Amino acid sequence: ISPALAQKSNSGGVLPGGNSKEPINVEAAKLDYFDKEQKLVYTGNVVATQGESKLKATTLVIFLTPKDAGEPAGAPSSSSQMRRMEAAGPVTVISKDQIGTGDSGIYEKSESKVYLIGNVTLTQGANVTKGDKLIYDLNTNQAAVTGRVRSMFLPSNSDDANHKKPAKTQ
Amino acid sequence: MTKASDGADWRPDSPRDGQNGGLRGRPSDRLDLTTSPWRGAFTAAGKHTARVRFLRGAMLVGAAIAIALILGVALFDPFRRLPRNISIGQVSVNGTQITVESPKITGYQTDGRPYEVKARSGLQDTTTPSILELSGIEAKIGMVDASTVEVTAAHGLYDGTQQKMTLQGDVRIWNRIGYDIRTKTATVDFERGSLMSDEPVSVILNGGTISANQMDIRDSGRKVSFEGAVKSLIEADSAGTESTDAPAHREK
Repeated sequence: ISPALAQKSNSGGVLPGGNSKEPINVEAAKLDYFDKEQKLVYTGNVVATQGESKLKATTLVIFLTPKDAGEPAGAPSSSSQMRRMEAAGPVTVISKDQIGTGDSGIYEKSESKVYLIGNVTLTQGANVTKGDKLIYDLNTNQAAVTGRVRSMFLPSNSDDANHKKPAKTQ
Repeated sequence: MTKASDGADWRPDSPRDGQNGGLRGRPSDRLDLTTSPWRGAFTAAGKHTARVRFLRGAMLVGAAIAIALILGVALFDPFRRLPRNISIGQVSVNGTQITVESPKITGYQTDGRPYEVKARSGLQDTTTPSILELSGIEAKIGMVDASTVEVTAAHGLYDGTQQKMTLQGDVRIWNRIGYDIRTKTATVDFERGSLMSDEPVSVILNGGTISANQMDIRDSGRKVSFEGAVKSLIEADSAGTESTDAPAHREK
């Protein structure tokens, strides 16, 4: 079961709910940039925000598209884009009213999907779903929790909010 | 009378001498009977003159050499121990301090990559010749990938023996096509190709910006570490069109 959200989907940014026009702000205690492997390793309460979406983790590794030979060392080249992100330590992804947590997270640009892996919980408003793995499709903004799934839906008795709150688009 | 010590041993004249009527030859034949007090005087005088002539020459030459030596030591010695290859403009000396206009120091890092340090002026103390205090610094460091990193700073201290330079005052390190780093102080180790700054630093990259409290660039750009309140902004590529990238430099 996937508490799909009816959201006008724009081509997803890097973080669930974010849109890719927004720059990504990443803050951390330490950042190591490895030029040969073209990767950025953030460590120490990492907070990555894109638009309204936020990802928190203890370490975040961003892999950039490999540079072609002859690109200057010492800096990501202009053509380098983020192709994959790996977050570790308890990972929390917040996107508007959805909060997903898990042991580790992966963003794969080629599939434009975000995975949360390892005792995952996805809360949306009052509804909580637990499982082993959460797959969030950035294009359709649909989150699917797989593995041993346990969901809890609270009947929302307040009259104004109908069962599925349509998320506001930016 | 000078006694002719070695006794002039006049050789009997060969007929050839006789013919040209050398006065010297004929009288000695006839007056040989007595050792005339004058006999050796002539040669002694000759020797004496020769000796005097030699001494005079020797003194002249000796004096010239001494002057050259003193000049050499005075003028060139302090420079001889300067870093390997330094070209300098106008020089002024006061006490043990030498101020050098537009010095230029070039050298090679361990793996042969060149580096060059230019400055508006340099101050050197002859007691510590390998330390140069430079102001208005422009340095160029050859990087592994044949790009050059340029470094400018208000002033800095260049240590020739350790090939290190500490920079102060709006330090800027930039690589034309890669990054533009601004900080207050930085230490450049030319031999290891590393650069370290423990003051807040801000970096403008093609695809974003990074700011942190400390920065450490290791083995010439292969690893760059930032520490302390790291804030980085990565421009997401515009959606859809893969090719265009948005290297808009946004001043933090």
